[in-house]
Amino acid sequence: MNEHNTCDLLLDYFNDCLNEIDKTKFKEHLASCNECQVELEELQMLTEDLPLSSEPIEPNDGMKNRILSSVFAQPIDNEINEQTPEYLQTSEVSKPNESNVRSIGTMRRNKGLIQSLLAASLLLSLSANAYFYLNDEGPNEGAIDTVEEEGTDEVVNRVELAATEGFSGTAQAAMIQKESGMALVVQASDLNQLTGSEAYQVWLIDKSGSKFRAGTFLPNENGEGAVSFPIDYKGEHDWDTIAVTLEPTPTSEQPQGDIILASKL
Amino acid sequence: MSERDLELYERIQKQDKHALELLYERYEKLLFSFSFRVTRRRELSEEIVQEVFIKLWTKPGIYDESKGKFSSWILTVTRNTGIDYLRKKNENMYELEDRDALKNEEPSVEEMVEWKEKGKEIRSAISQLALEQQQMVELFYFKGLSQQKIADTLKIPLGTVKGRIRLALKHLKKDLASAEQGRDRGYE
Repeated sequence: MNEHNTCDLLLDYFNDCLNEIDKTKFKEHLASCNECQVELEELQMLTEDLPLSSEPIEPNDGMKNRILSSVFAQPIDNEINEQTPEYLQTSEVSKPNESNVRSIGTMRRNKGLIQSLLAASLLLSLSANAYFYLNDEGPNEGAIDTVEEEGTDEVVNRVELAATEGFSGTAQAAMIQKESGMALVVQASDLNQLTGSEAYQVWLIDKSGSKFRAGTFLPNENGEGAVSFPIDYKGEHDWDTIAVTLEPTPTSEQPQGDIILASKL
Repeated sequence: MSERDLELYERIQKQDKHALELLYERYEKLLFSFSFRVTRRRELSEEIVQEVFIKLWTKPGIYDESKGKFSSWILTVTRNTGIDYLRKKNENMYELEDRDALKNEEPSVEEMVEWKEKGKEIRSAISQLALEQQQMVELFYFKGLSQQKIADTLKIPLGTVKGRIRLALKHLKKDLASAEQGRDRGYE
């Protein structure tokens, strides 16, 4: 490919549409092509304000809790920082998060169960001996150790997931119906550690065999992981099976990896 | 605004969870709205915002000042994550628009006043572009399509795509610059 054609890759490079070979080629080219450098800078300048054209949209209910809990459940990529024991010691970690959950509970008391579940899942993902917290009185008064006190909301289904052949692990799943919608909470333990970008994903499979994503999680050092997920798929579904798969990346829209845990619903 | 971002980012580097939470609160609505602008799907938008914050938390040193303003940088990361998701999920875009979500609400954080003011101007400027130029901006910037895909979608020769995109973007920038001149400069 001649010089002129390489310059033509600029826009596709900007949009990350190039394959690895072309991308490497273009990067090398960019380092020496003044024209492309200027053009790339100009492109960045011209598009800089475009995100602000987005109409403000209210974030999803409970999104902050879900996101922060899964962010804090992630391992840090390297160990340059020696002052990481806080992250590694669960007993230390649970303190700030406990207060965090309380304040969220106070703020959003009225929104009810889903928030409680999400708050609980924040703890589940960080704390080794937390249980589902299913009552609807706000996450106060020792809620963390409360075992399955059901409130007025209906637990539609609760199952134990068993490991498939060749894999280890156990999990419990509960589906809870609330006026505001259905939520699925899954807590797993004894899972194998992951490598690279692998992630565990939960799937709901309906009687017609269609598979729906129902959350993603990464296990902590003890092989425990948890996720809470709002069930708001379009249409009516008659659920047949719940499964956890090991996916190559956390973004699979349909299962690609092996089923690790499963149960009929 | 950006000094506060930098301070929070420094603290995040030291694994200060509270700092990440504060930064999250500052950007939640903007990043979510931008992701929604790109994907038109709430569930996906949440995943995108989550991925951006996971990167921020788990990759020390991912941002530094040589990468420009923190706010521009995090928006770029959000866009890249968003168009990447779009590409992966292209086959089953069953839910093209979530119309219920298109409620126009005001940003809650006062510092996002820039978003509110500029957003109006940019939307108005975009709507004044010729239809073809609007499509260019949409397909290139918000959908992240390759030049070939844009040519195929709009049935125009591949060789003209780059020129048309640049023309559309420049046109837009010029309109924005004159809009800016026309009002008080109330923010930085």
